[in-house]
Amino acid sequence: MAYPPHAYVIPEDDACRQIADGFVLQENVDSRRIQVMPVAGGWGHVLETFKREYVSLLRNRERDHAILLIDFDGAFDRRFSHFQQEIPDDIGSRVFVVGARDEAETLKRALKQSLERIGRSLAEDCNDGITTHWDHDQLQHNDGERNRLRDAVKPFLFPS
Amino acid sequence: MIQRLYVHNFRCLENFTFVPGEDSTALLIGRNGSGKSTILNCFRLLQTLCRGSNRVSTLVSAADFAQHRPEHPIRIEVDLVIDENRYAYAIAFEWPPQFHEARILEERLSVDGQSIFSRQHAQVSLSGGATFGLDWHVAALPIINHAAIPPVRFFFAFSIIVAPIPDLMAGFSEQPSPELSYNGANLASCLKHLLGRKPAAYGIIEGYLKETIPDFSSLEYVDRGESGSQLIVKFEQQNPTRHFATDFIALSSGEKCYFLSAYLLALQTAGYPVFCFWDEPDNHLSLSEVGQFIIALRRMAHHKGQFLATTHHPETIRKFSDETTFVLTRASHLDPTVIRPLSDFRFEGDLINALIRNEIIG
Repeated sequence: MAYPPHAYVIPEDDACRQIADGFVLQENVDSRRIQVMPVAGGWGHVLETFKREYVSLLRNRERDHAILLIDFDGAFDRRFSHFQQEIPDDIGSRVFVVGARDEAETLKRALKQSLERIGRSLAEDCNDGITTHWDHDQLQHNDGERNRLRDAVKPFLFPS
Repeated sequence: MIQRLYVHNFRCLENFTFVPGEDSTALLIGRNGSGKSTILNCFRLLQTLCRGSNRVSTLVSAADFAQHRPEHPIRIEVDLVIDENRYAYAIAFEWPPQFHEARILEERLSVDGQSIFSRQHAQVSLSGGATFGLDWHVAALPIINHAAIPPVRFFFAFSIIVAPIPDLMAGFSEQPSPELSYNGANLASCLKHLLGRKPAAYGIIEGYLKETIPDFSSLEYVDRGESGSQLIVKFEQQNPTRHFATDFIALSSGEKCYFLSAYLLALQTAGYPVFCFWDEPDNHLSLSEVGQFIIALRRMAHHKGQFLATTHHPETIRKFSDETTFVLTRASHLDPTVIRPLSDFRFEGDLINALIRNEIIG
């Protein structure tokens, strides 16, 4: 059976979950192609959940994608490398690790917006092909993953 | 859009204020008996009044007075914005000793701070200074003829306040109607009314249903005798092509709710700003569909309208934010309901787990 392309977001905590929900609420996002899953309860649990439930899923469904939404807690290089080592090569092109440099709450305080509003702004940027919000100090380190995401999921998440 | 609801002495609501906030969507959560449905019933009271049932006896009963104390008047105030005009409507009911039913104590309406009418018992005063007497067992809002009043009447009369009972949604329409019933039983009549007025709305309904029910093909009304018509739903499967048609009544409970959601989206797209208060919209839906369903309704309201909901469903709760989720608590049946945004609460870890542990709604 041919499944349409799909993206699963695995948020680390409730703050990440609200950003992801805000992203999906943006009117140009095809909300049937993306699902925000229950919070994992910490970045380590995001990785465990991914390995336990999504590695086999992505191998079985070649058009599915996983977006691991975590806080880097000021240790972007180390934590990003750790995730990269754990993601199998054969599905690596469909797995993305993104998040705030410190915490989602840090981003909320800096932007003085609700987490949901921030998520919608990030989706608006994606739709408009700009990086106004993605360029924030708390998010700029995601450039590489954001570019990969743009190439991989924008065609089906922002169909218009 | 509702901006403020104030309720005093109505069932469990005493000196109660609900301000939905900047977002046009809001979720009410709380334990059973915390007052979620009582808020809904305040809006139903206003809807009943604006749909023409203006006899006080059809609006409140003795049981509606908080703690069954009829000596304390019921007061309901609502502030709303319609087409950038700010309306403030208030109505108060009292039940004097020896009376067999409640009567109007006060009633008033203003637009942008200008009084349209005010009332004390039977004495009504219009903005121009005219006064007249009115039966104190009858509300004035549906009766007074003033150009400023119809928008308020239409807002509540055509609002969507529902707790659908799919078994009652038979798909039979005797008369097209713009007024959806509380249980959704006349959905077919409302769909027919909308499609009669705005045929282009069919495209929205069809598009939504094809997303949620992949083999949905089309719908049509078929005359059944002289009394009305039956909504027929057609399905189609490709490779090989097969067709199937059924009466609406034969659909599953969840599928009927998809049609209700499609109706709301089509209403809004057709230009009608929808005020929707849906009691447990996740009822009857499969787990994988709840999130999509809620997102569609929230988006609708973000575009134009307002969507309020109650729930106990974790997936629905996860589709709202701390700022758009309101927690109702009530210490006991002798205590009034208290409402606070979820953002006021502090808890560790997962929100759903905290709710299960009664850390928040306690």
